Amino acid sequence: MLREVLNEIKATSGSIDLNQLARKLNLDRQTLDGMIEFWVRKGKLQDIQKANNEALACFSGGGGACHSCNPTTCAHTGQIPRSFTITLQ
Amino acid sequence: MTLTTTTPIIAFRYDEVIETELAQLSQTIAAMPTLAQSYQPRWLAVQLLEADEILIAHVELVAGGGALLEQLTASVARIESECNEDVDVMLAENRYRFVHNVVNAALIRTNEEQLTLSDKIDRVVTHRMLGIPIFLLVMWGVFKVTADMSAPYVDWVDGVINGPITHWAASLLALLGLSGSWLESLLVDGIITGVGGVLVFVPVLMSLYFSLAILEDSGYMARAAFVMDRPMRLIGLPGKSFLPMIVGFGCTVPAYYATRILENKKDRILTGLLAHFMSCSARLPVYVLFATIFFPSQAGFVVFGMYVLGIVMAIVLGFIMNHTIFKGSEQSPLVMELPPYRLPTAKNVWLQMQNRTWSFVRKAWTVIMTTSIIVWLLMAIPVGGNGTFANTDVNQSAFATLAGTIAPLFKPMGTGSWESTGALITGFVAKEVIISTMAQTYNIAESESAEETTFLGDVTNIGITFLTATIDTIKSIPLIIGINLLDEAEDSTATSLMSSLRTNFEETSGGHAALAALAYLVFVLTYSPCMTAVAAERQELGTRWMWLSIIGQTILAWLLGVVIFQGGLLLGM
Repeated sequence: MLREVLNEIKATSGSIDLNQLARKLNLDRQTLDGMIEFWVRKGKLQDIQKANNEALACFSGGGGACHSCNPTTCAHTGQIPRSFTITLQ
Repeated sequence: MTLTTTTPIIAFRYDEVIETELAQLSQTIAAMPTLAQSYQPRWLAVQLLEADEILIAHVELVAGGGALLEQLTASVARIESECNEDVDVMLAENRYRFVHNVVNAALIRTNEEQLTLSDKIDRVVTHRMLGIPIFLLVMWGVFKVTADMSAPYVDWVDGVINGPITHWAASLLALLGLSGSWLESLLVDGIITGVGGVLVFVPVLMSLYFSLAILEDSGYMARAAFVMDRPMRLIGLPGKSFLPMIVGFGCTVPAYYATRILENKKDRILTGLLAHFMSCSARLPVYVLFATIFFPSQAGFVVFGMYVLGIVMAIVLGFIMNHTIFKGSEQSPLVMELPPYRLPTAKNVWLQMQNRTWSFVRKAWTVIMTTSIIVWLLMAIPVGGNGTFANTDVNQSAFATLAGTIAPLFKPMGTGSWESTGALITGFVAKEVIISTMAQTYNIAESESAEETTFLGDVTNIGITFLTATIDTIKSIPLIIGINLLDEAEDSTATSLMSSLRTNFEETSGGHAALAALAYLVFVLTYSPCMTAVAAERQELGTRWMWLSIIGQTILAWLLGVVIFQGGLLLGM
């Protein structure tokens, strides 16, 4: 089951919604979410929203270029929806 | 789902190969009193198989721990060899399978296919063929609302800044005996004109942020990212490349930093270069000003067109670059969460609007004010002529001289005046500064002499004009569907800046002002990013790509501007 989730994502060409994926694999959303979190912890999937937040935290702490250099107050961040992709090996 | 009445007891067991190793490890742990006293042997065996670092470190320290860990290593190797899978994956897989089987045995699902209302809507909204046209239609609606409904408040803010506020500042300085001094010129012609020229567009941005907040809070914007994944793949970029570009619609600076989500360096550089073409919110006041002056009946459509043009340019350039300089990008699938649709809440919409608008206003009091002071200073310094400091013909100022040296380069674009060229130069500081510089350079003509008013009279008038603007905004709502309830007299009257800009473009373009304005807008869309974005670009993409970007994008901007103007002339426009 767990490996099926990863294989199904790898086999997807393009993009797929989490609800669609859950229906395809005959899983409920909470189970699928747990499995996706597992693969993120294993490093096989990338949590894009988390990666973006880490990138912005890095730039604000390092004396970033923006004049309002704090991602928690920057009005233009936080627009990336929750999304995942296969980590490049 | 229906809960059955019988509840059988089911013991959880792993696959046989794992159970065999667990039994052996449990036996060893049970024979070690230090460990057996503190932990259930089977539980500890499972944790060790899952490579729990804290427990492994603890086992290393106890007597016999080394031998246990050697046994553990051998167990892991046997399991992985037998199952052709990592141990922790096997353990998790076993648990999920067990729960899945128990749930299936215990529950009867009455509706096999339970499509929610959101899923049904998404079948249309994220459809392969309909998704993008729907997205474009929604964005057209956003810009129509932004351009049409904010106009009365733009006029109100303009009236307040150029009326009572300027009057109060001049009166205060007169009281201090500074009337006619360079300080009055700095305050009125520099700071109030420059900063005020940008603050006039606060209603435009509030209107845009209001519309975007509605779309985000309703859940639609996630769908927009979903449908734009396909065009990204067409140009050879991974689908997640569009995610930094979404950020670029707000501000290019965080968009550059967001490229870090792309592991492949080529993808990061290409995405960063293309993110620049997503019109940031700083360019919106420039688009709105020019659209209102030169395309008054189609202002919303022109603004929408500039955003779409940016996306199209990014797709075309991305396709070209991906098949030339950046070959070999790896496509990877994208799994997105599309949150359920919901009615936006007033609180969330207000907070988003307030946060983003305040970010814009804060910029006005920092970057824009500083630049306005510098521009005022350069306009106050005479070069040639008989003027003195802060008392010189603007055409003989240092600013006019500096801008005038490169202004001829823009003649093929139908512009070429020092005023419009100078605004593009200062636009390197921040794109909104284009507006503040224009307000300073084009608005230098004497203000209309105001009637004598009292402070109370001014305050009352501010309130009355605000109410009038609110009523006009409500009347302008049907404009979205083409119904104009506003009287001709209520239609937005041209400010002196608008009139000066129109006259100037008519002169420099030989009577083809709209064409020259279009060329100018495309130049603003395309040329170098602002200095803050350039600093972020240098940090993320490297110095070489930063320079290539500044020079390449500016040359491209000039070429496009020239093609648009000259091509339009050839076509008889």
